[in-house]
Amino acid sequence: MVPTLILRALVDGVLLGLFYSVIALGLALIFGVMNIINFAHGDFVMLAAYITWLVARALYLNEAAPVAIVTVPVFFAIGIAFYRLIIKPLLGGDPLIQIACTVGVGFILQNVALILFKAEPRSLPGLLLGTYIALGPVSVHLAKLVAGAVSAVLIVLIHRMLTGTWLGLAIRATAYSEEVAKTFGINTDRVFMLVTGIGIALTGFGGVLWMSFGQVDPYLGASFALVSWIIVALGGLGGIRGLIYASLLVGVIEALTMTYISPSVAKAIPFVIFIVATWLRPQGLFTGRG
Amino acid sequence: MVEEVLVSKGLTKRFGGIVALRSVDFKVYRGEVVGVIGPNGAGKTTLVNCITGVYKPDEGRVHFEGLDITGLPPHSIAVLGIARTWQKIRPFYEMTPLEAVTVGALLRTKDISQARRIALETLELVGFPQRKYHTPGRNLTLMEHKLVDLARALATKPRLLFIDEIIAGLRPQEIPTIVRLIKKVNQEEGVTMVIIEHVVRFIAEVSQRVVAIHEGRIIAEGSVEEVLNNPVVVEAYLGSKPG
Amino acid sequence: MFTRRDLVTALAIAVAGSAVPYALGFNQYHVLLALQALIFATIVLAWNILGGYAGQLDLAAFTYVPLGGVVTCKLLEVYGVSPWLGMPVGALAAMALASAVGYPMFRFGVRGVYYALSTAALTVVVHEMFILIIGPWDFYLPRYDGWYYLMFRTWENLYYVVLTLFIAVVLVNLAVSRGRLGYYLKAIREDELAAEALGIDTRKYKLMALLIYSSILGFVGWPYIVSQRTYSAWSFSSSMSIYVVVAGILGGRGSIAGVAVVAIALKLVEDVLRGYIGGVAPGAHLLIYGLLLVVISIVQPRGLGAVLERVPTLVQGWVMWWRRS
Repeated sequence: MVPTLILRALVDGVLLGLFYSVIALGLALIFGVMNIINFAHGDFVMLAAYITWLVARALYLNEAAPVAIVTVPVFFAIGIAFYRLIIKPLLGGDPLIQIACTVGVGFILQNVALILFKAEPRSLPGLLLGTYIALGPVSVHLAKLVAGAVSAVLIVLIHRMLTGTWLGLAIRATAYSEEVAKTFGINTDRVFMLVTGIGIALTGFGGVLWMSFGQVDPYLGASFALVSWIIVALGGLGGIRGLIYASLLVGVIEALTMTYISPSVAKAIPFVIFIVATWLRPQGLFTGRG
Repeated sequence: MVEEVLVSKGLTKRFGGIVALRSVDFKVYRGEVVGVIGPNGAGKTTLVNCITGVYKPDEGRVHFEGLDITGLPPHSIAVLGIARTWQKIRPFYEMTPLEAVTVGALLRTKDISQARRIALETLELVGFPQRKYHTPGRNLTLMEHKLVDLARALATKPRLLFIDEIIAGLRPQEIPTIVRLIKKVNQEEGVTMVIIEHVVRFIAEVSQRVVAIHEGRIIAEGSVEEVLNNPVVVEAYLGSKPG
Repeated sequence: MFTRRDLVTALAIAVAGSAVPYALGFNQYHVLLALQALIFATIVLAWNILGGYAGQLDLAAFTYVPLGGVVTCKLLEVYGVSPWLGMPVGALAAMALASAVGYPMFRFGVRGVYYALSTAALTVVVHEMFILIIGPWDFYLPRYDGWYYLMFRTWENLYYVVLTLFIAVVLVNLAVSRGRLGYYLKAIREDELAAEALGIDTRKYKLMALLIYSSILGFVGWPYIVSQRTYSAWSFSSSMSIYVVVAGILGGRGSIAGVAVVAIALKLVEDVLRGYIGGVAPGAHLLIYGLLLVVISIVQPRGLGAVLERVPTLVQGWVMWWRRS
């Protein structure tokens, strides 16, 4: 008989991992297709979470989910703007400069949030009134379950899009080689634009998901950032499957160690694993077609 | 009997399911200019990469001046006296030609001023325009990049130099300069050279001996006329653009 | 090894730098600011060797600095060892950690973003280990006064010590940049494979740069924590390390003057902004940082160094124009 505690941790870990994978997916798309390191990615999630909070309060909603109808398209548009204004000039340039620039964007987002919203965490009432569902011996917060389920659906949708549509093919071709894609007549500029749009739209989604079971403060992005990057790196851009495995791995490890070992070690473990993993596979762990 | 400077025996390299080199026995004699021809994808650059340490061969051995150099890392190969130029140029964009070539020269001397002197001599040898000695790499033309690449490699004072598809992307008027340069480096500096190229006419002009590679195997060896008239070679080229 | 111009520059910095406390009227608040700016500049200049010349994006600066500082502090508190001995030990500790993690990284070819992430991950691990082993609280430094303790009631003396260190690090940068190591590191930054083919053992030289960088950082750890007056697990911070990288990039990688100027300017601007606006709009200075970063990355990505390079020609042009009219 597996103790309830472990089951609980596993379930939490899987749900957390699914959530991470939505964020990491956006990051991986941008990095995989354009080779741009978007250090502001987590801060977009933070921004989305705040906007979700604002809109939900303005409309007197208790739950975050419906707001997705607003945030996702808005963030898609933000992604396009982000591409035109910031990403496009950085393309093909020095990676350190790309990093400096996106770090700058992150700073701007964080501190605008700090000035507008102050540092106290904000949450939606739905968080407190959350209902619990029983999954066998374990009870899970409904919102987390929904978030996990929606994430899974989303990821499957994106996977379908990438493998089954012309757009997906264009994206994958461009990711493989910009030059080759151009010779096939693909408008790489537009592909980049769309990919950024999708990537940021995913953060829009992530923000809504997060608000359904968590709190937001200006530094939310920073707490995601490193973990997301580690997931992307571990997944080695081996396609979506690699990413999922990596996210789930990280989520589960985080949840398990949190339960059984001191929080310090829990937080440190994914990073130690990451450091050692890069020694063994400097290009990432889960490389493979996906 | 001319000394064999480089000998590879049974060199094999696989990438996943693809066999890029199949049991290649390749020899280079002291002081010669030997051309390696073959259509695109034949394995020419893979051969260079296996010899110069960029790839580790799966089977086979490489000996340089009697020493087994199989699988050594590229920097050790360079120290031993083998240099190369790059098919797809790898410039030092933020360095000037003088600085880039000095990097090469620093292999043989720790003294910066002496290295600079060697760099200046080498740049002059390859005929690089003097007014551009201090121009940052990002402002150079393709031809100038190739000259710097060559000078960089020459500054390491190699006894064996691999020139990998150097005329790729150059204009027809620029090619005779390269031909003259190769002959000059071979005759005046005594560097043994291996010229990799898929453009047959160019190989014919610079090489004393030719080796033809196709699908990872050597299919012909001999003088320029012998190899270029060899029906097996001609057939391998059918479908690829003629020299 | 050093040209006359180098020595004159070093002297000029020494003189100008020494005058600063006087110019500030020994106002302790201002002298402390100057001290902190100089410490930050020293750190960024050290980073320049690994990040600017060798192009390795290292995000562990604020792992090595506090590590050196804590080691030195413990040696003083527990064994009564003077920081004059403790600082070199701190440097050794930083070097040891750096090589333990760096050697496998370089050996296995971990580079680019993976290297950056690994160093950021290292910071998190050390941070958590500190909480586990030493404790999650803030530790206040004991109040000593005297050269033996390298800690004083006023800030000027420490300022002069750091000024000397700063000049030494500038000279180290110059020596590296002019010498074989500098050429090799820059080649590695530009194209590692091409560098290898020219006989450069890239792993060896990257490690060399890492050791120089981490030892300087470990050394300056003590002045750093003294100037902060406390240390805690939060001293091990990726965000602080990012500031170092930002300053290094804005200054123009490899440009000693650019990096030094930017580092000092950023620190001063941050403190001034925090002093004046901080109360009204916390984070405004970071907002301005962010804007600066974004604008500069897009407009002049080669940083201040590139602008400074043009100054002599600009001045020449101006002089010629003035002569003609």
